[in-house]
Amino acid sequence: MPKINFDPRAKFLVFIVACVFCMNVSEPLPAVAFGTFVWVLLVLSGKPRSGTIMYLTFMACTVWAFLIITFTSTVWTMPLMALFVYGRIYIPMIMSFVFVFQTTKISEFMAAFEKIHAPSAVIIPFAIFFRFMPTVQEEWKGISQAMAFRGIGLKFSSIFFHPIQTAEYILVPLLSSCVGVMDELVAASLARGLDSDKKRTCFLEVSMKLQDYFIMMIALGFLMLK
Amino acid sequence: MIKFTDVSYTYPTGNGITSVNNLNLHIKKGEFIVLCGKSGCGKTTVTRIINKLIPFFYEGELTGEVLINGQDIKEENISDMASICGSVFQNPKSQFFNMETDGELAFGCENLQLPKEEILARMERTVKALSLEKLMNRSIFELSGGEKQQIACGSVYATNPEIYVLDEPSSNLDIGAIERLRNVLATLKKQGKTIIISEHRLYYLSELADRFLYFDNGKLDREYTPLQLKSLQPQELSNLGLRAINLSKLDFDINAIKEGEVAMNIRNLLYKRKDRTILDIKELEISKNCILAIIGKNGAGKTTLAEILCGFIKATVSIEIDNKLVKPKERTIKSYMVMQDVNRQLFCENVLEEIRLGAKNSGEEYLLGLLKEMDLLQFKDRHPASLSGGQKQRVAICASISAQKDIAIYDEPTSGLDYTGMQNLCELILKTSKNNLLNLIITHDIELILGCCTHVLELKNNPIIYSLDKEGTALLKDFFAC
Repeated sequence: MPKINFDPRAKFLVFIVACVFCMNVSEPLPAVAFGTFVWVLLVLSGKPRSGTIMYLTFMACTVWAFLIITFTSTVWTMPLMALFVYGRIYIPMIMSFVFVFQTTKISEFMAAFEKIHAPSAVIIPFAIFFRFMPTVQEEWKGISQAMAFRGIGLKFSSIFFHPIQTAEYILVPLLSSCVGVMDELVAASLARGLDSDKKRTCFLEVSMKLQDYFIMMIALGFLMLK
Repeated sequence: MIKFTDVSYTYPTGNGITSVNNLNLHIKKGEFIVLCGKSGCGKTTVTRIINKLIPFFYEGELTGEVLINGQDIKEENISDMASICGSVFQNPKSQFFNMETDGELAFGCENLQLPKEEILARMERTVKALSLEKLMNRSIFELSGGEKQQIACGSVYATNPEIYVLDEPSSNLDIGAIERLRNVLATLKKQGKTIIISEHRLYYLSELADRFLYFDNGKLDREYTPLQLKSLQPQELSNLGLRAINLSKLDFDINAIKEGEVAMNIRNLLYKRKDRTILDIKELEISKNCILAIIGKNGAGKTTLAEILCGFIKATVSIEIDNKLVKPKERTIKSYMVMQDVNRQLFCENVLEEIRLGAKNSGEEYLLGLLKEMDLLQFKDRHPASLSGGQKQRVAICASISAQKDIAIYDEPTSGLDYTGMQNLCELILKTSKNNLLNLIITHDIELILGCCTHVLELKNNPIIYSLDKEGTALLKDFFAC
């Protein structure tokens, strides 16, 4: 299936709407409608696999939360219900987060927001944030391997019985290597001419198309619904 | 083109040690300069002054005058410099701003505010000139180190600067990629570009360079023409702390060990990623206590093989250690990898704690003895993060010994090491190899292989394993084309 490339601005609006909408909606049906909307967007922009996994998890949470609330409400089911409700609220937000940050090229993102005259002091930190996430992911993979070699691999028991020790094992190398990578990254970007005082150009065509206005309308529609 | 007059520089965190000391240097347009010397001699600092990261990014004290194209570097802004001077850095992991290769190629041009059509045309030219066709439209995170370095070169090439500054660009490259890098550099030289390159590996530059500048403790100590450098005896080179200039002059006379008992048996290994076969090994026997070098082109699956052996990646395979079938989880427990980025594998507050971590049953005495043997005793109370790269690596190796693992794996341990560092590493590996059933070294460095390995596994369509006897060294020479 051909990928549809939505405009970063439209994606960002969807993300903001997701944050506002999901925090405020308490009925399951509108939540399902919104979740489905973001799922469709993810599938269209080339994330069918991870999108569907998240969507199914979200649906399961919503259904379970509904069932528990309707049929039982004892002290014992409360924590379980809370867990499912959290899933219902946060998963669509995570999905729209993925929609913004994993289907957009950095170059595209910067160009789109320069077009609406967003200041570079806002755009560049965001762009760096884009780049930071996969870095953390990559470092995390390496560190968890290193932990396994040392016999301090992540296990339920270690998280449960020595939470602080475990957090330290993860955070110390994670922070030190992420800081190192980001430091070098900034140096490299500066040396290659990234500068907040200048407008950049973009090698991709960035413009709002019909499809972008369409998804923005739907997103705003959800806000109205609320 | 570039003129240094009485230049000195001290890093803010340098404890008062001047990284570059009273440097006077004149580089003419179109010259090809190689900066060489031991680790920490100041050669990287010189590249940073030329691309203006000093003083614009790295603060600290810069005295003297640096003129580039007649302009004082303190006057202009760093972003104006990008159109004159293109930089390629050592660490392929941290020099990409974008997450996909296309955007990365365009990045420099976009910063120069070139129009879209021009950028696309330049990208096309770059792809052709550096043969990057296969790498286009890919995620940066799925490329190997060597492939990343090619993209980094491409991104600079697209901006078409007058000056190229490269800081140890070959650190993570295999022999083929180094050959391609050499070709790119030759093209640039032909176009009359000024090239300044800081490097430990010298052999691939011997035909290209006009001058080799040897730095020692921040001082420009000596200058060599390629002919002078080539006429130095291997002993003289190693006294200077320099790596080989001519690979065929290396000492290929190794005491090959006889085949011993089989320690590990790998059968029917098949690993695919997205329908692409990465590894396909029918049968492989590795003998006891051998030090096996794993070589192959970038992307041949060296790291993947190591990760499969350690049980991190699932693949269809049956692996026997000492004639017993071993499951992935058990392999993780039995093995230890000294990673390329050692920062990732140091967890504790001080060095002693670090080596005690995997060795719950060992007494204090044993650990202190081990530290002494590894020349780390004076650091036992230091925080691992405060040590130098080579020292961190030593701590990591020490931790593997104290944990008494069966399989020790080194993932490109020499990237960024100078001759002395490599020599020390060889001795360390030889010394500790007896403790392990198996020692595997993923490497691109023939000097390391000749320095300590006993066997070589060459990964390709039909992987072959050979011991480094006469025939073996012939095969090895063949692989490294020397």
